[in-house]
Amino acid sequence: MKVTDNQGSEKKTTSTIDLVSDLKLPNDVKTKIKQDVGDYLIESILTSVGHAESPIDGESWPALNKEYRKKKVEAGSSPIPNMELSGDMLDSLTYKNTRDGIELGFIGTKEAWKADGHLKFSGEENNTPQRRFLPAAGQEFTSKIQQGIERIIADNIAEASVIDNAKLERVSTKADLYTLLSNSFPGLTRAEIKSATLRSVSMSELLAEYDLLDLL
Amino acid sequence: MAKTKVTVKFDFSKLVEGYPTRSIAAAVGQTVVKMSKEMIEVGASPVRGRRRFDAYKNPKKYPAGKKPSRPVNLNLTGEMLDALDYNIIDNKLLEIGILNATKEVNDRAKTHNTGSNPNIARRAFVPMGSMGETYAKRIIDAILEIYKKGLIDIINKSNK
Repeated sequence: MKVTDNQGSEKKTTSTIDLVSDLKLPNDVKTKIKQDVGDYLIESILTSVGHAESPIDGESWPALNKEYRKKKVEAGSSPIPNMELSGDMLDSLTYKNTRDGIELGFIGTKEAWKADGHLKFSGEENNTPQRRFLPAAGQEFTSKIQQGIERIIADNIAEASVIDNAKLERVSTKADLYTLLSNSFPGLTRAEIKSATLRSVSMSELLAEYDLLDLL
Repeated sequence: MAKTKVTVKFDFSKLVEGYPTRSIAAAVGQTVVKMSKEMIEVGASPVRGRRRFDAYKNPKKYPAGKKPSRPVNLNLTGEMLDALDYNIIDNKLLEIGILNATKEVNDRAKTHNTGSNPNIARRAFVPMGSMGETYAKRIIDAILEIYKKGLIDIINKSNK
C-alpha cells in the first residue's frame, strides 16, 4: 500500500492510494480489495477523527483556539478538534475505485475546499492549523491502521486461492507446507501467509482436516 | 406479546476440534460491544456501509439543547447503550445487541436500528442479517484476529 498522490481544490480534495498495482490477481479480487480497504479506511478515519486524533502517522493536532471552541459550543457541537461543526464535511467523506486502488476524500462537493483548509493539500493558506486526516503522497496511516490494511489485502489473497487437496496429502514438514502456500498466496511473506491462513475459516478448517495446523 | 429484539448471532458450533470456543466467543462479544460503542459515540455506524448517522432534522425540537446536536450518538440518558451487550448461549452461540432491557428501551432501539418510524432516520447500530448487513470492516478485522488467536492456542498446545 502506498499513497501516490494528493490534491486539494474547491471541487476535489483527495488522497490517491495504490493497493493492487504490484499484485497478480484476478480483477474481481482486486475490486474486492479496493472495496474492503475503502470501507475500512472510512470507518477508521471517522473513528479517529471523532476522538480528535489524527489517523496519519506522525501527525498531531493542536487544540482549538478559545474563540472557535466557543463558536462550536454555541452551535451545539463538541468543544474538541473533531472536524465537526455542522457535520457536513465528514458526511461527505467517500472513496472511489481507481485502476490501482482507491481515491479517498471529497469528490464533487463544496466540502472539498473546507477539507483542504485542514489538510493543506493545495498549498493555499487560510490561517487555520494543519490537521491532517487524509495522507499526502508518501505519508502513511498510523501503524494500527496500516496493519489492518495489510491484513485485509492478505485475507483476500487467501480467500481467492485454490489449493489442490492432493498436494496437501503430500505435505509432511513445515517447509513443504509453506512452499505449497507460497505458491497459492503470491506476494505474501511467511508471517502474512500464517496470519491470513489462520484468519480464514475455510483455509484453517482445510488444514485441520489434513492435520497440518500445527505445521504453521 | 413477543419482545422486540435488536440482536445479531454468531454460531461458533462448527469450529475445529479443540477450539477454545467459550473464551473466544466472550472475547469477540467484548470486542464487538466495545468497538461498536467507540464508533457510535462519534456518530459513526458500526454497520458496514452505513458511514455516519443522519443529522437531526430539527435540532431545535430535538435534542433542543439537552445535548450537543453533533455528533449524533444515540445517547441521551445512556439507558439504551448501557443495554448493548453480549451473551453466550449453550457455549457455542454468541448473541450481541440490546439485552435485558425494558420494553420501552427495546422499542426505541428497534426504531433506531430498523428505521421503522418514518419521522425518525434509520441509525443502524446492530447489523440486520435479513438485509445482508454485517459489522464494519474494522470490527470484522478485530474478530478475525481473535479467531486466529484461538487457533494459535490449539497449535501451541499440540506443539508442547
